[in-house]
Amino acid sequence: MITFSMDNRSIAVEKGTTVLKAAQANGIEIPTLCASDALTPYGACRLCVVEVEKAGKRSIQASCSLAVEEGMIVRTQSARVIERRQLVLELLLARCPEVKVIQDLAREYNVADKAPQWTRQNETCILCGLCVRACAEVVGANAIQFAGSGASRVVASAFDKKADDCVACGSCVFVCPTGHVKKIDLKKPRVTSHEDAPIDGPVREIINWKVSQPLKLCKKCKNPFAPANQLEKIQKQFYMMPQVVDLCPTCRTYPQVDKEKCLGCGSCMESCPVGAIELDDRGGYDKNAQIYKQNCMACHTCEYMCPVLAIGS
Amino acid sequence: MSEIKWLSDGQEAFEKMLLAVPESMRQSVKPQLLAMLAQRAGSEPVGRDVIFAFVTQDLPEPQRTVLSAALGIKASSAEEAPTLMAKVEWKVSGEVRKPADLEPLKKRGLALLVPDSVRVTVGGATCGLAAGSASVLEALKKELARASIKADVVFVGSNGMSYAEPIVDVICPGKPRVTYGNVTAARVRDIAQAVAEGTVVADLVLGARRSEDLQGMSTPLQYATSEATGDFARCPSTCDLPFFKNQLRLLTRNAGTISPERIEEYIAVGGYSVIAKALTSMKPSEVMSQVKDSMLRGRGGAGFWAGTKWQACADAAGDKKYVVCNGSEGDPEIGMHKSFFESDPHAVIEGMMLAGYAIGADEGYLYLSDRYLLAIERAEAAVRQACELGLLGDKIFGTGFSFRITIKRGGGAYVCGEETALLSSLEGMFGEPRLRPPLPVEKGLYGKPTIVNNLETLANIPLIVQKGGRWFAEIGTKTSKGTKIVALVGNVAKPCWVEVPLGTKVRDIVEGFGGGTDTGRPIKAFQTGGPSGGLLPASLLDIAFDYDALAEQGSLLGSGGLLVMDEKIDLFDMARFFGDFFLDESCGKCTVCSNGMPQLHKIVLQFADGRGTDAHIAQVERLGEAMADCCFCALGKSGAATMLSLVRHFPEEVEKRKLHTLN
Repeated sequence: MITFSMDNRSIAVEKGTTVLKAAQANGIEIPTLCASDALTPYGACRLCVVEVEKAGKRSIQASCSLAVEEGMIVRTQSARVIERRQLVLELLLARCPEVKVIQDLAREYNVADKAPQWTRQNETCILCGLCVRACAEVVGANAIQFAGSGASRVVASAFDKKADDCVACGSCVFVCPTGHVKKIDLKKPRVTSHEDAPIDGPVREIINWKVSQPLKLCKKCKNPFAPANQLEKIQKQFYMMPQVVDLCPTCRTYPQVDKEKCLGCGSCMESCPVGAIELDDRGGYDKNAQIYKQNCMACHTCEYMCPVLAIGS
Repeated sequence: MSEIKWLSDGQEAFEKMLLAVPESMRQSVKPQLLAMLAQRAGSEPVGRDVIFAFVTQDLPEPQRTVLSAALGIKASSAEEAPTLMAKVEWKVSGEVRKPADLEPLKKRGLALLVPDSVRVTVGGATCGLAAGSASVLEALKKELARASIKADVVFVGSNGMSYAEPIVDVICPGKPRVTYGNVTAARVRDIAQAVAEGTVVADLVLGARRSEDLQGMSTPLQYATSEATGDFARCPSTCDLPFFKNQLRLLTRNAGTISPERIEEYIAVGGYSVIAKALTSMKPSEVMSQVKDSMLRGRGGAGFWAGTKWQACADAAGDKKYVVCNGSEGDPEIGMHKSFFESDPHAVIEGMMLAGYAIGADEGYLYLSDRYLLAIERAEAAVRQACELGLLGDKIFGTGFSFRITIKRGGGAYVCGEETALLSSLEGMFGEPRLRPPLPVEKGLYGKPTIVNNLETLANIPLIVQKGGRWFAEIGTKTSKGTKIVALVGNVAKPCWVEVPLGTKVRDIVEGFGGGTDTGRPIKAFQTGGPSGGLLPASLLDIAFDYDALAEQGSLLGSGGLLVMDEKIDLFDMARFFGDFFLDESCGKCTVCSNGMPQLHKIVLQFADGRGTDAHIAQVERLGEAMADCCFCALGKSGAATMLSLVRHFPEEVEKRKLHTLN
């Protein structure tokens, strides 16, 4: 454990924790636009800067990528920090005046009306790199990358053509803080489809990467539920019950725990690919597995792993 | 045997590989290589990848190392290839197996440097070639042949006098070495005639010297033992020319004297004797302590202590470590590292080997900017020759130390001089800086402990190890030790690159070596450290050229460029130029740099148009402070330096560019 001081509070966290995570765990608010728990720190937005005092020297550091050190003094609300955050927000607001998350932050830091002194652009992307990292680290598709340098930097698919490696999973859309990356699910392809070969039936378009992928229909209710390519990729990476790739989340049968039979051994918890199972601890050896339905994707791996057949459909 | 089906890139790679084979053996080796290649490929078409696999898997050592180096691929590990190739006739000499083996090479080199016949050298660094030395070399060969004089006519590097290129040096046996400047192809006949007659072309001569001091790395080269007579006596002594007398030529001791393409000549001036001494009689920790004693600081810009960096890397856990030489000099118009490397590439290689020995690395990468075509060519030749002699490869000098060097060509982005961006680029990724910690000395190239040093830093190492860290620490100022190569460019009468002790006054460099401005107008400003350094006014010309004095005035030593501007230069034009440069060269990763640079540039443009306001100045100062605080890397942190220095040092210039409204 490492003890350090943040905003005059003494805080102890595990070695290797970043200052940002330590702050979040202790209810200290630090604004950020490019950090995510699921992704490696990147340090692009510079909004999470804090003032750090080490051996009498004060400096400004990005908290998302700064590991805690014994005895360091961190100030998250000093005048210098606020001034730097204000400037970062002014620059972002001048770049993206129409983006709500930036407007809100700017209002919070009282810079909403200061932006006019900077030259305005009308961008929506702040180049935080969340989509790029999510595509590379979580999806493993590497379909998009930064292109260009300096002021002309953008996120783009290779050569700005249709992204061949994209499975249209929509992770980039989900993580984008500004709504720059857009997807749209359509009943049938638009006439101006980016795809060369026409597709019949429902498609998902990721507009930014010029991708349109057919959506798979649920075998039971006949409603489209996920891009076929994404399901194929998941099936290749993990062992999956056919129902996961054939049925929509509504029509799947979910595993349930028979609390009488459950021993609380934890085999199911360890085998769950998406971490949807936890042991609900009631003290001593009296534990029960609990499946959180919102995370469960009904692969039924737990059912096979249970030694006492306590999990059934 | 089946016919080989070539793919275009395969044929290209094969040709390139073949060039690495010494010319005399090329014809005899070619069919053998082709036969082996055909055996490997079968009926498959031969592309680049097949050639690479062929070289790394089928060839025995040391041919494998040499050809891998020629192709720019990583040589595989040392185990003997199970090979049908053992019967290939071309053997790499590998003649250096113990330190004493350097002696015959040294003799061979000395016979070239101080020959029994005539030796004529032509300045062949980029500055010389730009001035037309290639045609001078050709003309010299032709004219000397016509006068039936048997002479060795070679390219050497630059001796620093870029303004006097093309420079021709003539060494006749027993006579002083005569240096001619501004030689044109038309005047070559006069030189040939003078050589034949044993005289001197008086109007071209810069100076003559009887011996060449090698700073204690080897015994001085003696061209003439007796007093000069006749024409030679009337030549000024080269050593007493202010240009050479006021320099301290430690690193550049060989520049302009030895041919960068002949390893024997480097060995003749004491080359590779330091690594031989270190490997056979010093422990890695002793090499390390010499470097620490020297208090050598990085010559790339940041000025970090080299010894501290090395120790951290040596202490880092890991069995594989790397030495990376940073040769990505991106400053516009400044090229002292390029000129130096083109003149003496082996000094850098020896420095890399010593660094590898000290930290326990067995692999080095030489990262050169892709724009430096000549430097890359010479690096390839140098590495190849060192491999052939067995100076690079396995069991160097019969000790347990192995070291290989791979040359990598960078795209030439300015930010790739930053060490973590350089490592990203080396790994084949987007050249943008990485998060630190972990520092490169803990997790650098491919996640292994790595030291990244500038090539000038590394070139200092052989000197330090040979003459001792304490000797080195006596040169320079209290915190800035040693010498620095400075490129003097801009409005100077004599653009050149010189080596001076750190702490020399800028005025001494500008006026002593540069001869004042070329236009005769007074100096208005000067800039150190390239675009990341600030503009300083002429009133600060007496500032000491070292890390701390310059930092105090809001500039930096950087890589050692010195740009001089006279009265007529519009400083806001310069600011606009550097702003354009940064707009292109910023990687765009962090908000403050990628959004702040364009905003700053807009303000610079306003001032350049004479429409600046007080509010603009406040904005510049605020943005500059924020960039220095918040940016991800050193490029962004110093991005506003030019404009901030204008505000700080040139208030009257700024005032002139303000919008004056009637009120």
